[in-house]
Amino acid sequence: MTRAAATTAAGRSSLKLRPGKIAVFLILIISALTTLFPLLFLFVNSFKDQGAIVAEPMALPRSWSAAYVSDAMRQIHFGQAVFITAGITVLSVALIVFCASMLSWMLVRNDSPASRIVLLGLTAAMLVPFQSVMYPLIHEFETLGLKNLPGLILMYGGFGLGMSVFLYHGFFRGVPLALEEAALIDGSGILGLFFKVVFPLVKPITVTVIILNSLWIWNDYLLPFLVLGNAEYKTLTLELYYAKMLSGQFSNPWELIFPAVLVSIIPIIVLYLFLQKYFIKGVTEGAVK
Amino acid sequence: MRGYYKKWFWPLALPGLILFAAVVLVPFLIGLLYSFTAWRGTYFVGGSVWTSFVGLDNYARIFQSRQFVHALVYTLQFTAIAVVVVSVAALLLALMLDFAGKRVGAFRTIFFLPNLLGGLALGFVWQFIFQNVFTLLFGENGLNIPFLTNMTQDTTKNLFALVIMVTWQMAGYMMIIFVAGLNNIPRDLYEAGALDGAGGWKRFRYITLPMLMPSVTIVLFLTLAGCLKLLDQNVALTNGSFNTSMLSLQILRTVRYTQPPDYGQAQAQAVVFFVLVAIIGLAQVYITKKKEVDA
Amino acid sequence: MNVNSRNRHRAGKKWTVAAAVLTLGASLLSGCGSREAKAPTDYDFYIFNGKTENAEALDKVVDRYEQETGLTVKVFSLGTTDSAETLRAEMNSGGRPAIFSTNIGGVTEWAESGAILDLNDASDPELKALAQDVPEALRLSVDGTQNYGIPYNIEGYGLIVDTRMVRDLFGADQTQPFLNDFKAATYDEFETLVKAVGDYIATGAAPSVKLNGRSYAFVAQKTELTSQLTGVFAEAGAEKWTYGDHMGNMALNAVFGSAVAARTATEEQVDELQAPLAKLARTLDLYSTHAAGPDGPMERGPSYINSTTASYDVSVQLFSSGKALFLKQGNWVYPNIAKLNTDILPTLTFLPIKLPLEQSDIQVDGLTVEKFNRSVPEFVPSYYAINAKVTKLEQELAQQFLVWLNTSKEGRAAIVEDFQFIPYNVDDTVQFDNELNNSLIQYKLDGDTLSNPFNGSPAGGGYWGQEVLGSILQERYYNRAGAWTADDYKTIAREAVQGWKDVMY
Repeated sequence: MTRAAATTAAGRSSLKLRPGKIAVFLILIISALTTLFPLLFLFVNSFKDQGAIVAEPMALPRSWSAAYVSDAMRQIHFGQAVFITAGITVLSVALIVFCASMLSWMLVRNDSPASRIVLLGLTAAMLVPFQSVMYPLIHEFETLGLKNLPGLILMYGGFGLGMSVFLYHGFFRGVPLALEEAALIDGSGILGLFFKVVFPLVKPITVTVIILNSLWIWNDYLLPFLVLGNAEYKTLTLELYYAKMLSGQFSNPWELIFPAVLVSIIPIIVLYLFLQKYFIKGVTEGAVK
Repeated sequence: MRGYYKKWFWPLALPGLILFAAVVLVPFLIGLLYSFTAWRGTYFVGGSVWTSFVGLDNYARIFQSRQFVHALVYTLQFTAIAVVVVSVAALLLALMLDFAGKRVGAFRTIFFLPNLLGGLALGFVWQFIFQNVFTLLFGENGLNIPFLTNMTQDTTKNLFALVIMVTWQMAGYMMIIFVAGLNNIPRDLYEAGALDGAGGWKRFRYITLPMLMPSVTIVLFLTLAGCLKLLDQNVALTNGSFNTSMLSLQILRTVRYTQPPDYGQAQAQAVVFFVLVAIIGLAQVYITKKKEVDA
Repeated sequence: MNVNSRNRHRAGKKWTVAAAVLTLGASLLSGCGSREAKAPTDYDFYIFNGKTENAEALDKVVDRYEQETGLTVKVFSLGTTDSAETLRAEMNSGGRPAIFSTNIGGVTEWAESGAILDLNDASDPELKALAQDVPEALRLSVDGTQNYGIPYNIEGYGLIVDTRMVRDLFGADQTQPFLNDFKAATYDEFETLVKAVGDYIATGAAPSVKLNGRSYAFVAQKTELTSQLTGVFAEAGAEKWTYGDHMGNMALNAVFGSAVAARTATEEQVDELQAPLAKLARTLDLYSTHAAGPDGPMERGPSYINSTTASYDVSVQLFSSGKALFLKQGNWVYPNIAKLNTDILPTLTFLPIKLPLEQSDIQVDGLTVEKFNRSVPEFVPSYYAINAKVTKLEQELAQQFLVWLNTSKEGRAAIVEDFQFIPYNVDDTVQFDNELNNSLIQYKLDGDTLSNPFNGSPAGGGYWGQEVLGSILQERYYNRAGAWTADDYKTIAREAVQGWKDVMY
């Protein structure tokens, strides 16, 4: 490589092309390709029939017919399922943000042994395996007439609370009391104080709470399975599971599974590519506490 | 001021507290109670909760179940390996990104991507990859690495198949946490280190690692909890065949493998599972927090 | 202020505790107290159907019933292994089904909970009479004294064969004698036949074989059909239920005459399974060493149990496309074959599965080795049961529906024509287009049937067949190449017996 070329390649980033750096970049590229491999594999095999998938899993499809994809979309009621999953996710996360932020604020502002015990209880809930509450929970909600979509949203609200309160609590401790006092002197009511003054201050951690909760709620399988089961309205993951079960209880119809998985992950990938700044920031903020 | 907040405590805190009580606390306490009874899912033997009280019977039977003990050991083995592999992979990725400089956004985007995708959906894809693609690639006509063929047909190999899949899904997330931690280390510390003549390894050992301890605490906590409670990937890859059930799956199986279904037994197993996760989780936080202070 | 606040604080704490106790108490009481049955508002009664095969047809039949009676009936169908948990959820809910499906494996749960009505106490005299007409051997009961359900239908399984394949192997005039002699043949004759067919497939020539003492010579030249054969059996190594449950049931039939007998077995009786199970292992060895693959014989090893290349669907595909002589399956496979190859439907029939038993291995009264080897298992997979925990009116209406379905002309026609079910009280007037059903009816009329003791194995058949026997075979024998020894047979049997005894209670 000529000197001039090296200079351009290094470019404005002021990178110096040392062997160490090249090696690191090579490793990073290989790792990235490895990471992408299952997704590329999934993509390629979403356009093949069962025979071709099994015989030559690594080959490109002979023709890029969208037949399997559109078939899969029909089978998993794609539009409806995305709408329901998105609805559940948005409402659950809104519930979590609303409850967790006010609860944490109150816990911080009313610091006492009792409030610390409450915080400890909420934090410890992060360690509770779902299996140890699942049967009684379903039983209880059934009794309350809530074994349905609204009930599911409430359940997510409850399960998401532990981690979210933990995150908010750490953040609220850093909000100076003086700010709130000033707002109160200006004649603000408690709700005005909370929504106009306090809530905007903790926006970064709200992003975290939204991202982290959305991720697991969107992909969750067991809770919708137990609550909704084979109901008419199913979430995306549940549709996928039933499509696999019904089309071949005793086999793997890959020509259905692969395109179905592919279309089911596309919405979240698109969202991620547009909002990735917030995703990364969300995870980072969550970790600093 | 304090009085003002106190006045508003209940109205503002109550929605969250009720939600938490209804979804987690009450079911947990009911579950605890049911774990001492002959609960059968739709009824209690003898008619009511109190007549079906069996004392510690359900707990006594837990460790007589070879399957439960196996699932417990398997879960611990998997967790031990997966936590190390995920953390080291994440740390290496983070160090490489840090070393490579600023223009690494695309890599970060790619590494984080698998974390967005569901364990069950992608589990189906990985099942095919392990069963067919790996077997083709690493078979006798390929690279000939028998360990990587038919990984879902063997207790030990499947453990590593799970580790590969979980690393793929979690490493990117943990990497982000490490990157944030690395960014928080003041650069002048390294300059001071360089002046003292510390080489790359020494700088890592005596500056980077101690300063990174808060991130390590979080990464270990998240991977530990995630691995101990792993379910979707386990269901998708083997569904428990070849003695590969982990605890989450095994507890679900208990009611399927008994007739009438022994929900009381499953509940007792779940309580033991909780105690285990809580002890390991708290012990880890305690130990690494102590390291943070020491550092 | 300080004191005051602390007092208030304490009051607050008390309040919290009280609230928690109240919530918990209320929830517990409502959760497990006996709830009064409430009449449903948007339907007259509710049918929970645990079988997917007749899901659509049942909807239509119920539609007709609704038109006839003016009632509103809710129907919910769900098959798969998850139906048990869903049924439990429905039983816990406000909208409980009045008719639900269960079977010999699941009945203990509902009997213990009191949710299932003993039809000996049915309020509808017609249903009571109908229930009492159910043959003793087919009744749904916990210990043989109750009569809990009306059978859905009869299913059975054996070695499915395309008789045109027999014709092309041994000649057109030999087909019917071959089928008759096959039924009467001993295991040793069967084993010789399998090996000879295997040789014929491989080399195009094999010595003639004896069945029931009579000699059958292979056709000198392979035909278009027989040249497609790649093996004797179409196997599904990935599906533990095909050998763990169904072949396991064959061995159980030597010791237990019914599911109730298996459920109430003593340890000594379970020990008696050792010999039949070892002989079953020998039979499975024979099957798996003569398995058909897509382009040649399928050999034991990792791909033999791969869920992509050795699934149920693949085995049906292999048989339907003429790669294998036998498919060991039940009549439920008929629609699957019909989807793949309608040409072979008219010439399908069942042949019996044989085991190398000796008379001393058989503990069931009156069962001989000869009868065992000419019989096929036939059993009731599901029953309609009445929920004793819904209102009297719903129970009444539910009973009337079952009477209508099983005694009226329309109802009986629906079972045979719409559901394509073999009625439990079948006689020689019932004829299907489905030759597999006709074949099972013939075995039943001849009295050559075995039972389903497998449903009395631990967890009502939900555990032992697949998780013990099936796992041993799949994970330690089918998945590796190499011969099995007589010691292997014994090991398989010993561990399967031990696995049963481990969970006896």
